[in-house]
Amino acid sequence: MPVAADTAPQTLKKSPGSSWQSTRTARRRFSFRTLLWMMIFPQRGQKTGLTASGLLLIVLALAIGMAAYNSASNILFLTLSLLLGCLILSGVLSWLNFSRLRWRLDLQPPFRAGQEHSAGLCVRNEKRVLPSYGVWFDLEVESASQPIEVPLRGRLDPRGETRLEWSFVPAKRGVDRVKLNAVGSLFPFGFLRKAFSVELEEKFLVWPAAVTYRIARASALQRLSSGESLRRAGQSGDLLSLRRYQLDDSHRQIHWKASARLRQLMVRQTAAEAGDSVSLWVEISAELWPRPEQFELLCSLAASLASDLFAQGKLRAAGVGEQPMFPVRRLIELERFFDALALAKPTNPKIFVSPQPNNFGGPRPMHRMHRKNLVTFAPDGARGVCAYLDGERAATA
Amino acid sequence: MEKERPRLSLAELNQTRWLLGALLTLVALSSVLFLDVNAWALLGLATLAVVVALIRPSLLARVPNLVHKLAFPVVLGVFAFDYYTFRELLPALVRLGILLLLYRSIGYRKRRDDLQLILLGLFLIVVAGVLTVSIGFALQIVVFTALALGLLFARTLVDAAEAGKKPAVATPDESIEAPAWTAVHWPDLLRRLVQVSDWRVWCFSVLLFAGLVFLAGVLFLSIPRYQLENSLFLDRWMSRKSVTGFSDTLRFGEVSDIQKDESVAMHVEVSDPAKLPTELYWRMTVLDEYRDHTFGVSPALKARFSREVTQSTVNRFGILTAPNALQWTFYVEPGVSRYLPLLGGFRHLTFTEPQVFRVSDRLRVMALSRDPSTMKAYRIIGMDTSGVLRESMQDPARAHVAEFLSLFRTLPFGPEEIARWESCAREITGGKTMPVADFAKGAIAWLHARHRYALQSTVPAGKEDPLLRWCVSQEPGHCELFAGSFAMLARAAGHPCRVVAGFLGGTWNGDYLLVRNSNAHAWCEIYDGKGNWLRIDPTVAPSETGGKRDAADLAGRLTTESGFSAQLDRLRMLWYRHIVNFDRADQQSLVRSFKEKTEQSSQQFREQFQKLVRAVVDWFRQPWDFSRAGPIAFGALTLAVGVWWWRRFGRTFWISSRKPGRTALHPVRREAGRWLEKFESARKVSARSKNLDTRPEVAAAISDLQRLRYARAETWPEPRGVFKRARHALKTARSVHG
Repeated sequence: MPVAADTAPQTLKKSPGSSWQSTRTARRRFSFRTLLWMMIFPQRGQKTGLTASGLLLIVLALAIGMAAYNSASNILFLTLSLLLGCLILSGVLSWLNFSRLRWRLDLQPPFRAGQEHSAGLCVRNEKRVLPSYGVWFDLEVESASQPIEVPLRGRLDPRGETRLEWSFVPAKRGVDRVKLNAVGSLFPFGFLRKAFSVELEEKFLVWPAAVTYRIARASALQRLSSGESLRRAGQSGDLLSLRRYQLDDSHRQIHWKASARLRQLMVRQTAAEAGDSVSLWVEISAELWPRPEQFELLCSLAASLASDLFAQGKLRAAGVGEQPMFPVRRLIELERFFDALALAKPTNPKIFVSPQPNNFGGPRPMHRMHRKNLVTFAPDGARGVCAYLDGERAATA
Repeated sequence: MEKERPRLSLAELNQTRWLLGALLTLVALSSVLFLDVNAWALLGLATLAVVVALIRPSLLARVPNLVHKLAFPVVLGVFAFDYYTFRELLPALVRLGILLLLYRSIGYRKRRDDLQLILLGLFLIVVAGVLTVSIGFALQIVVFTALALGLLFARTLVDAAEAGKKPAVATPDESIEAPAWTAVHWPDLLRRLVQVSDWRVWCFSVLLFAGLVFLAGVLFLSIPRYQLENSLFLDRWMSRKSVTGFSDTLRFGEVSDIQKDESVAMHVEVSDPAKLPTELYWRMTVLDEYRDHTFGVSPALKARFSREVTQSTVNRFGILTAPNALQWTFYVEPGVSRYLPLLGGFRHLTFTEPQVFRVSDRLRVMALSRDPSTMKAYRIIGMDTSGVLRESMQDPARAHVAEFLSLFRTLPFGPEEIARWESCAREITGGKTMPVADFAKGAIAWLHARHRYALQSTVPAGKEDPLLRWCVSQEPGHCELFAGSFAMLARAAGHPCRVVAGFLGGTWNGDYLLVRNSNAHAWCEIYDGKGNWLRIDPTVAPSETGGKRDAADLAGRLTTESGFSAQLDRLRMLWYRHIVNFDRADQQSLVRSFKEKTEQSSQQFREQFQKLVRAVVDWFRQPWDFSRAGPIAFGALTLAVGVWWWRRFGRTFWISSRKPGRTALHPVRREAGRWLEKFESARKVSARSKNLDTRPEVAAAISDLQRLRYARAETWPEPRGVFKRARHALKTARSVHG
């Protein structure tokens, strides 16, 4: 089973927003039959409901029509004609209101589960003369229970654009979706509640929720936390020695002269590497994490820990599951780790896992065995999660 | 992007809504002015309250909430009392409408209340329109519609602006808190409205509203009409008294009073004005009884009327054979009389809507059940205009005729007065038995010798009957005195005679006859002993020294109507003809006319086209030489070069001529966007949409278009080639995927 992090859609949170959309349906070839049906039947996906005033208008038209036929009064026929004309005018104005109106979703990542985020819906009126009024947008966030109605409160001038702000709280980590289900309006007279169903959907990644955790007293992690902070973990500090190149080492650290002389890649070993910084590896084996809620807590703890360590400049590298660990020197690399956490799912491991079970707080793949200051995670009882630093209990959540 | 215009705030939107609501209320209240419902005080009070509330909306907050709670039950109570007291449903309903409108217009309204306001206003305007059929209704309903749509529009904007906000809730026993928008300064608001307005949007709105009125007109003409006999009569629920004297009684001087009134009594259309009779005596009431110095309809004569019937047509009324096929259309103004003006019997009569009426074939009189409060329109085909009414049409038994004629022989005086009348009659006849025609001439001459016509008459003092005193005097008099005296003289001479009241003549206004109340007149009908009633007009024409009004005079006055009032009246006639009197026959006629005109124009177009083709063919058949071929070749060459230039350079020229910044998007980007939309549409339409993108030429075209649309201009491929390839790819894709 492939690791979920493999399919991490990098474009999900990088996208500036969806493309512009409108109510216009697919253009068909013109024919009078098409035109006739278009005038009689509403467009596909268009829902038209009567409001109280619309119902009143129709009841009034029926009553006046009956009175007109019963009294043969042309005054009543004239009134009936005006009422019907108003209904048609309402339809025309409503059509004009939606005409050449475009919108797109504008999501600004990052999103974290459990936190309120604001998002935008950009609306553009491409008409030349007429403004648009009173449009609302029915939005739905997949993980949220309640649909959101975002109204356009004021006038949108011709050739104008506005951004409607709305907020939501992602319920869980992973890939979430925002769907624009319908665009509706009561414009112009409130007779009809007209809504067009639209197919605008945007996916985005939700990072694990932040959790509070407790660092074990006198643990290595506490000692690390109280030490000197480095801006760029793994690259600062005094040069201690040269060593062989290892996986995930930065190319910048390669000592080319020594490599040429020794005919093998050698890298500089700095004080920072040898000292305070830690690597963080999240094992997502389904055998290890049989309980979903515990797995969620694992992701949250890992994200929170990584965030704090990065802020302190103590995070050197990170990795999730079977994927190789990657250095975390910049914010974008931390975000990559969060992305991987967001998409992580319990998997069946394909690689060899050390048979020594819990000396280091959990199973360790062989290729990471040599790493120093490696933080791993393991269940802590039925609900909790514990982080281990080189096998030593470091933090719990 | 255009320069941004300021926007109205929520408070300003509410103020605009308030203004529109108040104006709408005032328009609705003004419609009641046309109704005779005795609501002047209430109307004035309501108007005053609405105006005050409009100017100072914050005052309404001082009204305790309890008053608002009690208002509706109190209004209903007033309505119940009103109806119980006066027993007139429609006037009570109108007064109830005014009260409810007042109640709604002086409160801070929600959406539901705005709807009620519009509904109540519409009720008042429609009731007034139906009952008066006035042309003012057209103006009122159009203005009301505009205001109502404006109010609903403002309400929609307010609702959109308030979306998601919770409304303020008033405590039950306290005054309602004045909303913030009630602190209004109207000049400032008007200034703001001008600031936020865009003249293009205003022009569009005006055009759209004109389109609405036009559309309503088209709908009005095209709504199918069916005549339902079981009709609803709104005017039954409201009584109205006749403003003229044409009722069952006629007092001396009443006709003269009517003659002072220059308002319009009726309009008459005639299908062929050339066949107009020489004398137009519009008969309305026939009076047989003279009692208490008043002519009237005796109970015996009333009994000769039929029972009330509800019909929209009457056939063969008072004639056996139709004298002609002339068509007359009458539009009688409200309040003239319940008696319908007729020239005589007729073949066929049609009302625009079923009516309740009574008829008397013998008298050739039709009377509606009540004085109409609306304009009454009816059409008559084949009306007898001879002025001679045939007696015993359907009652040939002589005994019945004699009994009937005895009603018109009575001299309701004492012996001495009868002797005086007989003495006068003998002066005319010379003691001989004279034929009716000779007697009529003699009597008229006798009257003319003693009296001249005057609207103000003087009756000498004395104990005898005033009619007798005037008859034997030398005083001037009006038409009732002339007619009454003639009738009594004829009866004294042994000839059955009756007084008829109605209108005389009229004037032409354009293509129809206009009869004013000043045309009111009274004349006589005398029985000739041979089964005929002859019309005799003993009155001297008012404008002439002698003789009566003749056909030539009437014809000479046909074009005399002019001026602004005449133009206004033509407008009213237009309203009556094409709106009020529009019926199924007119609808069918309209369709026929439309069809004929379409066929005619189509025929003309075909003929013109064939003519043009023939001309071109003839021109080509002529011998060719350089002088003819040269210009053609030059033109074709120029056209070809122009097309080539446009295809090669034109687009580039057009693109380069567009200054960046004038529009929001570069034309090439816009064009690329259009093409991308076309591909998107093709993808949606195509049943095998997923395969569309797999075609290499489609993918390449989309890629190039996306580059034109989104990438920097420096990296663009050549746009013309891209569009050409896109066109080809789209065409191929559509042909393959259907």
